[in-house]
Amino acid sequence: MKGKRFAALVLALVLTAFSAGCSSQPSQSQSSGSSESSSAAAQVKAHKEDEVIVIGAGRDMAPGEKTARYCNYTLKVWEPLVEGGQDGRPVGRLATEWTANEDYTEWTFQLRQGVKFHDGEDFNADAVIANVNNWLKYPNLAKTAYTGVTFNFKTTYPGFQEIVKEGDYAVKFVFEKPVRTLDYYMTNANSGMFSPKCFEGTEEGDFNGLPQGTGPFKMVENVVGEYTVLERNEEYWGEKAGAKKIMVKVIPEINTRYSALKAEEIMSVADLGGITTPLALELEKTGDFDVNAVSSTVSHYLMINHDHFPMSEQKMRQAVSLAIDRQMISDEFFGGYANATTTILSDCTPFVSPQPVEYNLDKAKELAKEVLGDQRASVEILIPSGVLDRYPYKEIAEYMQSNLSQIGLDVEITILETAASNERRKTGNYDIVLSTQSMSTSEPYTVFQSRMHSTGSMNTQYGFHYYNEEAEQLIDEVLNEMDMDQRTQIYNRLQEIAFEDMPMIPLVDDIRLIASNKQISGYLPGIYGELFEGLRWTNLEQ
Amino acid sequence: MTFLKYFRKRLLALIPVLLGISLIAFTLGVLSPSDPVDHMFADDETVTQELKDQVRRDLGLDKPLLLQYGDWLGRVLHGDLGESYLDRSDILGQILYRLPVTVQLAVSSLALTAFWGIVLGLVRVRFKGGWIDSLLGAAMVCLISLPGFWLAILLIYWLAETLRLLPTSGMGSFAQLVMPTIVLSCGSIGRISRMMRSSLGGELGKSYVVTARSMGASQNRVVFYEALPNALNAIVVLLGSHLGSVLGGATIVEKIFAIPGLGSYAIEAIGGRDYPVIQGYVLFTGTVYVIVNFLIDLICFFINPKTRLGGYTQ
Repeated sequence: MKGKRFAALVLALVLTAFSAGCSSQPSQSQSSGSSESSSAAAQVKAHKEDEVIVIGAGRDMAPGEKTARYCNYTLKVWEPLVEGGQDGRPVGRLATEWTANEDYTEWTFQLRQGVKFHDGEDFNADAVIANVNNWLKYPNLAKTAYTGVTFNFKTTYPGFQEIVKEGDYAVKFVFEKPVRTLDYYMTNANSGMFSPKCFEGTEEGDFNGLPQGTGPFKMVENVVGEYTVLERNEEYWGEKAGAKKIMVKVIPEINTRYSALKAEEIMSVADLGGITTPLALELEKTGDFDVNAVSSTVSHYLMINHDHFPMSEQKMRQAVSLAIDRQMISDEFFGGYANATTTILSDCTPFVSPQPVEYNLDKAKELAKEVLGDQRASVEILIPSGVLDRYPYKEIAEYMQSNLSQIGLDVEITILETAASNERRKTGNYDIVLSTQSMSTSEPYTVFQSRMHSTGSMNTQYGFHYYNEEAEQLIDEVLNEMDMDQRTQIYNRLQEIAFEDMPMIPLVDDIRLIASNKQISGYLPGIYGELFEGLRWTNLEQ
Repeated sequence: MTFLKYFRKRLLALIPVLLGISLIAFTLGVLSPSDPVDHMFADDETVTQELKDQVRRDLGLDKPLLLQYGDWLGRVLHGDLGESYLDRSDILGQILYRLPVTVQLAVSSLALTAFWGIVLGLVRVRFKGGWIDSLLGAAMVCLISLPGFWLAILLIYWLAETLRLLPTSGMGSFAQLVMPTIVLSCGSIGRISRMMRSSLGGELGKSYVVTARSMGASQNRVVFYEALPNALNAIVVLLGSHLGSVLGGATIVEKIFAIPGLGSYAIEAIGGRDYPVIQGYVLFTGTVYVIVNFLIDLICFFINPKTRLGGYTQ
């Protein structure tokens, strides 16, 4: 009996100790209040310049030889002819300027001179042509560019006929039909350039070794799924990178990344979902970290099945939109790092025409009553499990469950494995899906076509069942519209239709947040990814 | 039956087992919702249905299921496990690359589990009924009950983040092996020590032990030479089961500690419906399980020659 009492006491003590361990974990409402913060903040440790800066990423940013671009553009190993600027508009990188003929069937690009690939080969017209010819070897003219991004030659260069050399530093793309906004389509991964020697002796356009780009960093080592090592390109044509050596380490688990930051094993994070907002704010409170933010091309929205009552009714969709306090979602679930929106295009996109954001529960109730009468209706919100460690979707769904019940909707929340969730979408077996959208090009036509046109992927592949006659006509019309002002007018009208008709219900535009140890500086988020080129040690040893 | 005959019989039995589990794994894979093509292009709404259908045809996903399985089996019989649907990497190459990582984890975990499980069990038997026995008993219950992922996060918080004694993640150094090994071993240490106490305690009550004592054998001789070998049978089976499960890949531990082992490989394949990888993994782990079970039988025989192994005698 004595032994049993003793055992019970020990068990209680052990459980108490473990509970103490639990309560020390960071949460949205707690402050870590670390005692080492003040001393660490007072002095930033000095480092030797050649000491490697380690950055953590949740997924592999360099998936390797069998992809179209080997690694994420963020790593700045390769450069495109045209990149997306920080306002989303196309900006020349390896191309200095470009012109099109009158009917936009020929586009001539002037190439930057004095640029070399990392293997010493010259960047010139022959290299561009070799790259394009390599794209033509991709099976089905499409290949994963890097994780989460597909390079689809047919949709990026629609009606491509040939590429012609117009001198050592000029090339002309020739098309069968007009392509008014080729430069918007070509941004970033869609015009990445590599040394032609990268593809020698391979089938299907694969790489034969490490990528040889023109960027401010050279890739010197890559272990797929584990880490990538970059070194500063001392022969870079532009402003040299700040850091001499960077290692990007794959740490899939968010809590482990957080611990690695606090233990100073990594100095910062990269890529989507690198650190969640609550964890970044906890790090900032310690005084050892800086938090920087920028709008990103990612948006969060409700995808609606227009074949299922009551969401098939326009008034019910408007009611749901009015019943959601988007600012509250931003403040409570994103820590203020999200922008409330009702606009189908992300706020980083060129051509965005912001629509009014309104939260009005009374108006929502009136509209819902017109649809439901005195009845109530059940709807299901489906959440793919794969995004739960990146975004607070469960909390958003629970909030919506509470608010929408006031307008007569009984919401059931279902969290499914991502593949199972995709299958439900494919078969149209859903009411609402909480989802993200990011833009792979700066050309918004792809968004309108995929989401509002009857032949778009949302309708043909995801059981959307949306149709709007005016939108259909405008989307067909804009493809052949060569006047940029007219094109902008059409895009504006499409955004108004999306606001009125609600093919989907936008919630917030994401703000990309990174937390960086104060021992590094110049590491800022960009709308397409972190700006690796600015990264450097804050204090260098003399 | 001679030992050689027994060995041949067990080897032949391996073939239908492997065929069976690979067919079951394939069936479960293709019956589960979605397919690898949907996963490949899930984030890209600009990808057309036409492209997806073409990719499905290229991968042979439009063929009848039995034909798909048959094609795979044909390749396997030539030693080719094929390529991943998702990243086109060579599957056998990936398994062989990740295997040493998993083996390293498994062996270190086995060593820690065996040592502490047996030692703690012996201590409990020595002080049976006393406060030490009770204390250790309570501790073992805690170890068995602790969720592995929670223990992993706690260890990272204490040992890496706060005390900075060990790295948070990765593989390659002894320091990086410590925490994953502890997490993998805790539950099994608890189970083995309890089994040790029960099994050895039972042997010590038997008549041959009484006889040995009455003939003047010391306590140490009685425990270590007379009773312990008989008590180890059950321990060896438990250790074998532990080894088999870790060799199959400790999924959660590998994800939390960023370890590129077989477990993380399998879970990515399952999420992406990467059928050839799933089947290659199942084939490999099935083989491992059968071999480990066979080795356990062998060890049991050598520990205690009186043990009959399904009719096998020397």
